[in-house]
Amino acid sequence: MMEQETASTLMRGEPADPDRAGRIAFGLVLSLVFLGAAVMAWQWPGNSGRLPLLCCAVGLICAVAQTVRDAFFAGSRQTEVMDVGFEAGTRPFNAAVQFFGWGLGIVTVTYFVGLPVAIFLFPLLYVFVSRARAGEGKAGIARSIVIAIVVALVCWGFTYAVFDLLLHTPWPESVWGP
Amino acid sequence: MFELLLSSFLQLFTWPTFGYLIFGVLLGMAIGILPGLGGLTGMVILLPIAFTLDPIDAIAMMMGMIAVGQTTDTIPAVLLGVPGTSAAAATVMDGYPLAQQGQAARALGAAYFSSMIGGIIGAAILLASIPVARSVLSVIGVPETFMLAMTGLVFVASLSRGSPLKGIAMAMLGLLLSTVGRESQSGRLRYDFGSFYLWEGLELVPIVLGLFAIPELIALAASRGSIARETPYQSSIRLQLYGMWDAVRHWFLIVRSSLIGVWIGFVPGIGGAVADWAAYAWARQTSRNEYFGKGDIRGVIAPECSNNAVKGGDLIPTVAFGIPGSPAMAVLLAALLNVGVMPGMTMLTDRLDVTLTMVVTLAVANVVATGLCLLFTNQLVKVVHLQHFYIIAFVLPVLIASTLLTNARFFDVYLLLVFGGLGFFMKLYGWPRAPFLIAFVLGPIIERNLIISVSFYGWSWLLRPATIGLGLLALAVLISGMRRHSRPRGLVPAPQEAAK
Repeated sequence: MMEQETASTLMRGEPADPDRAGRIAFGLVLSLVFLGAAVMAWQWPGNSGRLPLLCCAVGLICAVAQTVRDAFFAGSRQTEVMDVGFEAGTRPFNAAVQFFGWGLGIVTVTYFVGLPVAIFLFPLLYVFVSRARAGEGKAGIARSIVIAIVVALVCWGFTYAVFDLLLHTPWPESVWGP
Repeated sequence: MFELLLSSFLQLFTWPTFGYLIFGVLLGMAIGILPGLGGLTGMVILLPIAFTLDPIDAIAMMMGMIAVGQTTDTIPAVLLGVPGTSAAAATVMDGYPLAQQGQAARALGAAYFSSMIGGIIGAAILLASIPVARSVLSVIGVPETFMLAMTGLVFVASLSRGSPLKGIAMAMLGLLLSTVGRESQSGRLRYDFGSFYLWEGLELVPIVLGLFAIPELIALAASRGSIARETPYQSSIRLQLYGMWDAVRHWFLIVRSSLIGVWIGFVPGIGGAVADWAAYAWARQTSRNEYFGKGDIRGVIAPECSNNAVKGGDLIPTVAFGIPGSPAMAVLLAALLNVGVMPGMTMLTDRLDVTLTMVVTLAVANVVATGLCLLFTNQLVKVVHLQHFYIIAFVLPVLIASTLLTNARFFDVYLLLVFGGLGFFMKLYGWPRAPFLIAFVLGPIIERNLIISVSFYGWSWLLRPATIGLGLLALAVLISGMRRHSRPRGLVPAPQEAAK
């Protein structure tokens, strides 16, 4: 079955789809979201449930149809014209895990210590770690530290100037810090 | 009237009026560049200052601010793939791929020039249409507004050529999420899951930034290079001029997209976030080129002139009838009332000078902003050659700060990350993000107008001539999208080949 499908996609000049399982899983999750939302909206009287039910019905049909298509018919994975896909040869999953790790880090620091600290600390650490990974040797450490501090200061200064000096936005309080 | 127009033009260049105009333009440019901040923020900042000024000075300052935000929001959209405002999301689709090919300056040159022309066309139509606007607006009832919004949605959803099913499903998801929170008619809470934060619904800013900015940053991190990876730095002046020439070559596209922008701005409640997608969708639909979405300059020109032309259309109901077409216009209206200018028929008679000042300011502000942008582009485009970690180190904290400080709600930061994750999977598996966003923006308009239509007219509103016309148009677009999809695909040219 798999070989047949691979052969059919290759005959059409399309490479085999390595993300097929993920694609099907995404379609299934989307279908379940529509189904769950429909069950909730079913209990609402009158106008409240009208639009949600309509969205759920149409969305569920489309999501299920697309999932079936992804599961049993190859060739529906063309890059969207209204969207730009990831570059071939890159590892977006690994990058996403690291990115969200950093993201959760900055959010945690913001929550406990405060935004002013977080927006200085994140660029400092991120630039330093990234430069170290990029192959900066021991000799480059001092240079990396200086560059990381400069980037952190620019980021902090920019945010402070715009939101505090110009817009006078109240900064939310943190658990421990400012 | 011509003499009055000339005197308004000359008065704009007197001191201190011109100074206030420049101040407004600079603030608008700064706010446009910052992701998450829109024209409303700028208007709120200027409101207390406007109250202390002469009406003409106040209008010059506020109009200068509001006219140019959509010019500079292109800069992060093209250079970083991060839309400065929701009205620049469509520009990312082709602007960012152009930057990746080392043609950021070309994209920016085309964007500035088409923004300027779009703004001027918007101002010209504002000038021409005020006397006849009242009769046109009276034709657009509640059912027509509903159908107009649905047609816009179908336009965008049908363009998902990988599969229109995905486009429609994403539009439905966006529409569904727009219903989260308190329902406007009955006050019933929907999908709030017992959370107080969800009572007022989901915020637009974290959704836009999450869906569009975070996946681009992840893509940049995954590439482990700079935005313009393999392309050596080229002098931006020549590319900018080339971009401007691109805009001139596609003059008909500019006119067409500007008219779409003015028309969408004219209908209260539908704004720049819709206009740019509608113009992009139209440009895409009428093109036989497979290169859209991979760095076609027309994909930059169409949304850019459209979202600047919106302002002219937006001002028509605000000035002529006192019906603000957007929250920013509501603030402008408040400022006008406070400085003693009453919108309505008096704007065409006793205070025609004020109306003409608005028209002239709209046009002049666009020209000034374009000049300033061109001046700095040479330096700005160097950003695309920086290593990825410098960009992420700067942009991610700014995104989080913008999201957190817009409403001072920590919950919005979680939303940013959640929608960032959703945007990542959508990008990875080829589910289009545009229909989702556009449906989310249009959701409240669609629901309100649907409920009112059904309450007032039963289902007979479906038989109104304008409703039928718009419905047929939507159907034609949908069928056309399906037919395009079912047609066998030819070879897509490589970016460099197509650029040649």
